[in-house]
Amino acid sequence: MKNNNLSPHELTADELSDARLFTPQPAQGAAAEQLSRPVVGYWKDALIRLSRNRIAVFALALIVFVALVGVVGPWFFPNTSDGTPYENSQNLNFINQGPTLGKPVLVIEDAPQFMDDKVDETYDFTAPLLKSGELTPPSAFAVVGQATVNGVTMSWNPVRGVSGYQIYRTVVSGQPISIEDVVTDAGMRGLQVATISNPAQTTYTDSSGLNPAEQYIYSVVAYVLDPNTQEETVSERAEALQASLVQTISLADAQALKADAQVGETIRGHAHLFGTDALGRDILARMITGTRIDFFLALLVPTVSLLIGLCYGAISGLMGGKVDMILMRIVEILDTLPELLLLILIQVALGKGVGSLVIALCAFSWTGYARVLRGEVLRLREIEFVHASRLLGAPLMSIIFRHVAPNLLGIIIVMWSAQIPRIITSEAFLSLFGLGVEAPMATWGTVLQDAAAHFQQYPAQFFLPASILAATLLAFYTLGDALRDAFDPKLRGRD
Amino acid sequence: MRLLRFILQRLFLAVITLLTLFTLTFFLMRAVPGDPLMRTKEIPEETRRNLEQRYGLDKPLHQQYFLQLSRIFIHGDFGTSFRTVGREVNDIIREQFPVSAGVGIVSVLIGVTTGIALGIIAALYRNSVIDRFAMFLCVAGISLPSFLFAFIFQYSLAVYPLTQLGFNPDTWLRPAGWGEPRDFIMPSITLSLGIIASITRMLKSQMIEVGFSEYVKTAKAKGVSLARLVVMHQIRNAILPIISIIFPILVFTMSGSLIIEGVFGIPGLGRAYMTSIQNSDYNVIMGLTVFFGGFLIIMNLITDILYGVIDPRIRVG
Repeated sequence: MKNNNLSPHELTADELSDARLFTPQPAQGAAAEQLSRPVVGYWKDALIRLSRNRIAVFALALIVFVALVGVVGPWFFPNTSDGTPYENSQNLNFINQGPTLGKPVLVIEDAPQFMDDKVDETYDFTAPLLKSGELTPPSAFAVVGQATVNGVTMSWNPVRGVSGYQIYRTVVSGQPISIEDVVTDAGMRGLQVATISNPAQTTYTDSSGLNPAEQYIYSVVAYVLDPNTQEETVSERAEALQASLVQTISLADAQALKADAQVGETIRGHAHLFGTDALGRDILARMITGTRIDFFLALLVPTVSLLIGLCYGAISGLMGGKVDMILMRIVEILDTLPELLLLILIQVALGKGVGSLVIALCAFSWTGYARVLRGEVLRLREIEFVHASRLLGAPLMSIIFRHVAPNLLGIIIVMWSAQIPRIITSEAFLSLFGLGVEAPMATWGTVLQDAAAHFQQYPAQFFLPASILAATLLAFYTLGDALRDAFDPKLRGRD
Repeated sequence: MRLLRFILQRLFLAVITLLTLFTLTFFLMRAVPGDPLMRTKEIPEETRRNLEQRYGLDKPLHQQYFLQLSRIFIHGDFGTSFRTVGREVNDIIREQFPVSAGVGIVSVLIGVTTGIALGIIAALYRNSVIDRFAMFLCVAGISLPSFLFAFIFQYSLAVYPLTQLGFNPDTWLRPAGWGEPRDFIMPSITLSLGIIASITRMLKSQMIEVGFSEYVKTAKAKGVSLARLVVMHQIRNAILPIISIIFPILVFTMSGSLIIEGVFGIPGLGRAYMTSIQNSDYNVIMGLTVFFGGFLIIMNLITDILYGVIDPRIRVG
C-alpha cells in the first residue's frame, strides 16, 4: 500500500533498514519533570500582583508613614513646663491660631503682672458737671508699656466735670476701619469693655479674650450722669488708639524651648503646622497622638471580631444540622439590626472610653466574618484535595494547617483589611456625637469634634486634620481593594 | 405557594429582629449607670416616688420589660421624655420624622437618578473623562464619611461665598437653617453622594457583565439597533440588581443624616437623637432607636419581598 499524500518521496527498502532512523531516545528520567521556571505559589503570586499595582504600593507607603509618625512622633514633642503631655497642654494666650512655623514671642514672668488702676490725686471733684455740648473726651490716650495678649494697659488725662469714662474695643479684621472712623462715628467703636465711674481714674487694663492675630482699636469717651434723671450723656467724639499685641510666653515654657531664655527677651515660639485649637493646643500634635488610638482600634477591633467570627463560623460549619441553622439565623438577625444605632446605644450605656469603644465596635462587626467563614468551612470540608489528604491518612492538624488555613487566609486578610477604614470612620462618627474617648485624650475624631464646634470661623482647624483622615481612609480603601484583587486567582493574568 | 412561604418566613424573621432590637435597647438603657431620674436636679423623695410610679420604674424589671413592650408594639406609644415634662416621644417622631424623611427622599431621588445616568455613561464610554470622574466619585463617596462632605459643602457653597465673596445672605444658600426650599440643597447633595457612588459602581459592573452575555450577543447578531440593544437588553437587565441595594442605601442615608442634620441645623429625627444623647434622655433615646431601627428593618423586609417577587431565583434559597 502506498500513500503519496503522506510523504514527498517514497523511502526505499535500504533507507528503511537504516538503523540510525530508529535510535532510541536517551532516558531523561527526573530531568523531564524539572520545572524550567521558578515556582510561584499562591502567596508569592499575590505579592507580585500587589507590588505591580502602583497605587496600592503608594497607599501602603502612606499608611506606613502615618503609622510611623504616630508611633515615633510623640517621642519628639517639646517638653512642657507643667509636665502635661504636649498634645494636651493648653495655651490660652494662643488660641485658634492659623498654621505657623513659630512666631516671635516675648518672654514674661510666669504670672503676668498688671499695675493697679492709677488715680489722679489732684482731681477736682467739686467742678460742676459739664453740659452735653461741652463734653470732650479725655486727652493723651495712649498705651502704657507693651501691649501683650495678656493685657493692654492704657492711660489718659482726666477731664474735669464728668461722671466717668467708657472704653470701647473693636477688631480690625480685614475691614477698612481707621482711627478716624472710631473717633467720629459711635457706631464703629465696637464692644464696650469697661465703664469707669471714677472720673479721677487715669488707667485701665483690658485683658479679656485678646487674640494676638488681631489688631484692636480702643476708644475712650467721657460721660455725664444727670443726678436727677439718671440720664447718661456721652461725649460726641472719642479718643482712639490702635494696638497690635505681642504674643507672650511664660518664663517656664520659654526655658523648655530655649534653656537660657530671660524675661523681656523675644524668642521664637512653638511651631504649629496645623495651628492651634480653641484651647490653644497644637492640632498637629493632637492628630499625631490620636493616630495611636485610631490605629490601635483599627488593628484590634478587626482582629477581635475576626477571632469571634472564626470560632462562630467554624463551629457552625463543622457542627452542621440544627446547630448550624440556629447559629446562622442569629447572625441573620444581628445583620439586619441597625448597626450604627446600636453602636451609639452601647457607647451611651458603657460610657466614654477606649475600652467601651472596643466593645461597641466589636459587638456587631463579627457577623460578617462568621457568615463568610462558615461558608468557606463548608466548602473546604467537601473539597477534593481535603478528601484526598484525609484518604492518604493525614492527621487533622496537618489538614487544617496545610489545606484549610492557607485557603482561608486570603479571604481573612481581605475582610480584615476592608474593616480597618470602617473602624476609623466609626470612631470619628462616635466622637462627633460626643461619644468617643474621655477628654482630653486625643483621637482623630475628637480633634474633628473640637474643630466642628466653631467650624465656620476657623475652617482650617477642621480641614487640615480632615485631610489626613481622608487620605488615610482612601489609602486603606485602595489597599483593601488591591488585596482583594491580588488574592483573587480568577483575576490572574488580567492585569 | 412558594412565594407566600417566602414572604411569611421573612415576616417572621423581621418580627424576631424587631423583638431583638427592643430587648437589646431595653437592657442597654437599663445598664446605664444610675437610674434615669438620677441626672435631673435634686428631687424630694416624695416627687421621686411619684415620678417612678408614673414611669413604671418601681416595678420589677421583667414587668417593666413587658409593660414597655406592649406599650410600644401594641399601643404604638413610645413614652414620654424624662427631661422635658410632658414631651411625648410620639410627638417628636410626628414632628421631626417627616423632615428627615423629606431630606432622605430628595437625596435618594437625586442619588438614584444621577447614579443610574453616571453608571450607564461610564459603562458605555469606558476610560472616557466621565468614566474617570465617575470612578473617582465612587471611591471618594464610598470610602469617605458623609460628614466630611457636609463640612466641605457647607464651607465652599455657603460660608465662603457669603463671607469672602459678599453674596447676598437673603437669597444665597445658608450655612445652617431650615424652612425654605433652598435649605434642601446642601444636605441632599451631601447625602446623595454616597448613593451616587454605590449605584454608579454597581450599575457599571452590571452593564459590563451583561454586555458579555449570550443574549446581548444574540441580539447584536440578529441586527438589533444599538440604541435598542443598549436600552432594551443591556440597561433593563443591569438595573434589576439595583433593587437589592435599596436597603443598604436607605441605611446609609439614614445613618449619614444623623450627623448631617446637626451640621446643617435641620430639625429632623437625627438631631432629636443627638440632643437626647447629649441630655441622657433615656426614654427618648430608646423610643427613637426602636422607631428608627424598626423603620429600617421594615424597609429591609420590603426590599427582600420586592426582590423575591421580581427575581424568582431568590425564593428558593
